[in-house]
Amino acid sequence: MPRRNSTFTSGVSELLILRLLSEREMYGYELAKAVQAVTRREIRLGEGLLYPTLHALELEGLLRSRRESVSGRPRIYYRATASGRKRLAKLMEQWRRASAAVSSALGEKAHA
Amino acid sequence: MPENEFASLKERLLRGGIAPRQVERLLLELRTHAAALLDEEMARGQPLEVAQAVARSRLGSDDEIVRKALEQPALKSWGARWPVVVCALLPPVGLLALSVGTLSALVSVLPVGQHLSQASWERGVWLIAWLVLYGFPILCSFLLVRYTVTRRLGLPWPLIGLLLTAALGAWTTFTVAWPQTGVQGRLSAGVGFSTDWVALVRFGLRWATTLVAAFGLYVLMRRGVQAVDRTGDAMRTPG
Repeated sequence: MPRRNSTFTSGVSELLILRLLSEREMYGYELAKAVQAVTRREIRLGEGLLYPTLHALELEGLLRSRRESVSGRPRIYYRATASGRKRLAKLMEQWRRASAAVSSALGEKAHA
Repeated sequence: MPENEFASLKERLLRGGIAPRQVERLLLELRTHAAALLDEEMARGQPLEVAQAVARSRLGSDDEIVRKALEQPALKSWGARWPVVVCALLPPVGLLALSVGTLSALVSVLPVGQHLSQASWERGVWLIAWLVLYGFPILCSFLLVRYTVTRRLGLPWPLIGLLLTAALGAWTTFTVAWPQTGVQGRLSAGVGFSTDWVALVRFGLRWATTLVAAFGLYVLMRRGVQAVDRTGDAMRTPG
């Protein structure tokens, strides 16, 4: 099993969750699978660690949820709200700037 | 997964200040997720015990989940975020509001209840007097104790809140003078302190009554929590 890097992923989880849930509604297990798929398994975090972030985002009004029972198991489906999509746009912009800055710094080092 | 698989995690989250409603929801989703992971591992042909271990590992350790939950201030209970306000100030203020509200309601029905007999009035007024002097302080103290135990809060602020609530209840006075021929009845209530020894003994008894009732409930509820802890530990201890 790949090693987890929780320090690196802690700030990314909000971005990934909002990105995926702005596309479509998902429940936790489905979302964990989607995170692994879109990150090509490079970002590996305990799947249960998604839930505290999901709940906090919902309390902030960035996500909304609905409950459904499937084959006797309760599922809570989440999707991004309009505020969640606005936050996503802001986070993506921040991420792009930070990523460009780091790339630039690494590039300078490589040429030094 | 055994029902008590997450008993220790639950306790750690509550002790960390996460609101019980959030803890229950988190555990519900973790259980559902763990069941889905177990199905996935079993479908890969893993034996049950291995599948259970892998599923639990994929979910993340208790330490990781607790740390992640504690990073989110929004998940914390009000008592964990503002212990002074919620545990020390709110109970006595709530008691005051409850008593004033009840007495105001009593005064507002006086004009429309003129047709009732004096006996009915006496029963009603004495019931309200009993509630204001004993019932409400005990009720507010019970709510505070329940809140403290269910949220696993530290004792200092709730204890101050309890002492203040019990003292306010004991200082509350309520006197009734029934109307007599040519003399109008009178109803008065307030908060007062007297150095008269009879008043002091009465204050002490009422204060102690509320405190003893509250501590009794606290002990009972703590025993209940410890019994659940022991059951959880027994489920996790091999052999």
